[in-house]
Amino acid sequence: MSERLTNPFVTMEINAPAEFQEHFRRFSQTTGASSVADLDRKPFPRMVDFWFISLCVAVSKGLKPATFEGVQTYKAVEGPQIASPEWRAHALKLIAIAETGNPEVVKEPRRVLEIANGLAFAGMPHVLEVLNQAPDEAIFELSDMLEELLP
Amino acid sequence: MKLVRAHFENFRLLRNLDLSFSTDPKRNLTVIRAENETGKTTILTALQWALYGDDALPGGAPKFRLSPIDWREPTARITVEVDFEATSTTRNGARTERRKFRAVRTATETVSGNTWQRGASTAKLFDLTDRGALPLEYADNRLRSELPPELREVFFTDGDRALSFIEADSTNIKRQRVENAIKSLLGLSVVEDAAKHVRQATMDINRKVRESDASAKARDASERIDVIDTEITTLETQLKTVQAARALCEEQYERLSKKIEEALAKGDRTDLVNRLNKVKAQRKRDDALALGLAKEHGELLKSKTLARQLLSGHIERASMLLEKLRATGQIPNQTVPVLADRLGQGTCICGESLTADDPDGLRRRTHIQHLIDASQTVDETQRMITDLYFGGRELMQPIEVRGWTGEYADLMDKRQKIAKNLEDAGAEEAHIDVKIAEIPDIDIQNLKEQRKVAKRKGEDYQDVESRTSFKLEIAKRDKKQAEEERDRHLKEKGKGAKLAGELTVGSDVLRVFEHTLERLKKEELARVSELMNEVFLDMIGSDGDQGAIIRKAVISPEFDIVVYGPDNRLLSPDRDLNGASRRALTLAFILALTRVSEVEAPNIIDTPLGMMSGYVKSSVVESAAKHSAQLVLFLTRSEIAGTERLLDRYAGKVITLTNPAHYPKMLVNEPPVRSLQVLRCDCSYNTTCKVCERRMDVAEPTKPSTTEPEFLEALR
Repeated sequence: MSERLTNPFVTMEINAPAEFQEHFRRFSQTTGASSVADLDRKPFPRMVDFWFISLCVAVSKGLKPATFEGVQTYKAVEGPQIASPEWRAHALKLIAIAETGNPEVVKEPRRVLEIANGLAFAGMPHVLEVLNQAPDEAIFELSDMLEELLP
Repeated sequence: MKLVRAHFENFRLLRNLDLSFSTDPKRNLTVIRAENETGKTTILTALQWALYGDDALPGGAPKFRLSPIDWREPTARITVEVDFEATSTTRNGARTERRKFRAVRTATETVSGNTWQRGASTAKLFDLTDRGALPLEYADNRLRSELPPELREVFFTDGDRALSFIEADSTNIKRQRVENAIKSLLGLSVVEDAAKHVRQATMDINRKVRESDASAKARDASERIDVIDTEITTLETQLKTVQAARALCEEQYERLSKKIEEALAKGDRTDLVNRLNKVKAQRKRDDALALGLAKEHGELLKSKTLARQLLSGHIERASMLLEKLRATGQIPNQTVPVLADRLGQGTCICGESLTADDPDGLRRRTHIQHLIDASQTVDETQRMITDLYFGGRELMQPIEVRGWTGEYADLMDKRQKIAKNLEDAGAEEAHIDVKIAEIPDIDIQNLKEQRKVAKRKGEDYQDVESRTSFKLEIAKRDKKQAEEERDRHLKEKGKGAKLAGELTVGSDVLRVFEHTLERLKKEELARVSELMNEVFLDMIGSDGDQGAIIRKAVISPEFDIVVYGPDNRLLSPDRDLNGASRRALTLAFILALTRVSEVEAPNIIDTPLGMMSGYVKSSVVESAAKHSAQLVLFLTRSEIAGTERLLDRYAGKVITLTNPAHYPKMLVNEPPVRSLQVLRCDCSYNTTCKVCERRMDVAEPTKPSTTEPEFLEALR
């Protein structure tokens, strides 16, 4: 199966509100993390993981997707990363089906990503609030919060 | 003998100093009060130089400058005069008269800057009579007989040197010191020397047999005895040398063991460094593990399980919608490829034929082909939904019981364990670092090697010793046989009867001396030992009934001073006794030895009360005063503190010495002279004058001294 089939988002990208740019850098290990302390301050291996966790938190909390009208955005994540690991592409589609109630939404990958992105930035402030509670132990704070959200 | 007076001129700090000593038997104590750097040790050295000559100078005469260090003249004449009284003994041994003598030792030093030269000193001895000072011949010899040099450490000692009887690197040296002191003071050396003379005389008589007209057999035996005697002498010398060498090896072994033990008590540096390296290596591994676990923690946030659980509501809703599509046949199953494969093979899964030749097979084949065609007509949308339905099945599976919480708990458990390990390793590293820093830089491995060599050498010497002893035993047996043969032949022929008689007398006398020596050693040693024990226990206030740790001190037949604790447990004087007890023990030995020998001699002791306080301090002063014929103590003010009552009772004379160089830091008043020299005043142990008044003195009563009115007068 071609990448195009497994990852319909490969040609797309995640645009994030500019206000989150610094947070993406601060909490992602891709900007450099070589010690345990660094890793504990930067819980996410990649920026896309930060984005995806925020999406999950929003879904879990039943938040409404955020809208970006009039908001300055920037390209935060490249398309190939969105569906890595592969199961995330399925997850995004399932979320979109659940949000719209229409399975046929899957034939519109851009719409799927739009729904996911809206939810992710609805969840991100909640995640940031936890991460900033104890910056040196951000990963533990976040893990504990996620554990509490689990059904 | 008793010291009466001493005068010092240009002997280092003692430029011009007079001291007088108490000779009153009831108040036999002379106290010389002097602080540190005030010439106490110099006086001790000067007295010994006067009485024993240049050999008594510390480190050897050539290295010891006598003249004051700030001497400006080209030559310095150094003189020490010592007046003493002694009892002259008449020929029948009764003590009859007290006489006074003056020993005068002089030397001249040529001084040029920091260098100096000095010839041998000269000694003169004078008989101080009513008619004046009459010179006596052989001054050094007479002085030696009055105060034997080997007893110098008994008569003149300081608190530290006194310990040499129980503290020395070598047991052999300690033993030798004790043995020499005892033998000299108790006169055992005289008997020993006499026995040696008799033995030599007997050997000489044996030689005469060879030159006599005795029978050839007697002469042969005599010659054999002579050869054996030489062999015995050689073997005895060899045995002594080997025994001493073995003892040295054993002592070296003990000393090294002690060093190793002490070093190990603080820790083996090599072991510690190895341990530190191991801890560091383990910490490095744990650091890597911790880093791995921290990364794993990040990966855990990416886990599908977590997403599945967090998204469960949405996933289940979507899953339900997809299942509905499947129920209505909008999602084809995945049997198409299988069916196509079977058509290719011509056989159904159930085993029936699917070939076109067979009518039933053709029918089945047509039906299957219809199913395949229907599936292939599904549109793009359905294909994508179908992909999701089958591709996302894993995501839509029910959540496992432990779920992400279990994975997180497992990871946290690992992270906490590794964090604890790292914390412990850090603490251990710091602990080891501190221990290493505390350890003196001693190479324990090298010490162990040295100890091994010492042990091996000791065993080799022991082997030689054993073989030499055996040879000696055989030689003695051969000698006895030869002597019996010689004596028999001398008697048989009637010739040499006189020589036979002389030999018999010689051997009888020798036996008498040997028995006497043995008896004296045993009895006199026991007396010294008993008195030493009594004085020592008295000094330290040891009471066995009250559970004292030190129960008994004895001198062993091998001349070791040994101490016993409860249940006769052996205590090491230089390891198990505190400083005060060690000093008390050696002073007790010196006093007991002097007392048992009945030799009238002074005990001049420099700072004997260091490390002592309270009962022990007072008790040492009292015991020393009671057991000494004449006691001279050099005491600092802090040593005096607490002993005033006893000084009142026993001190016949008290002299205070002051070093003017201590002004203005330690002395209150400007001294009358500024040159480097010791000043004397007659202040007692509890008084001060303008010369000796000190800053930061120990607390002491300040009643006006006898010299103070003069001083006040002078001020007015």
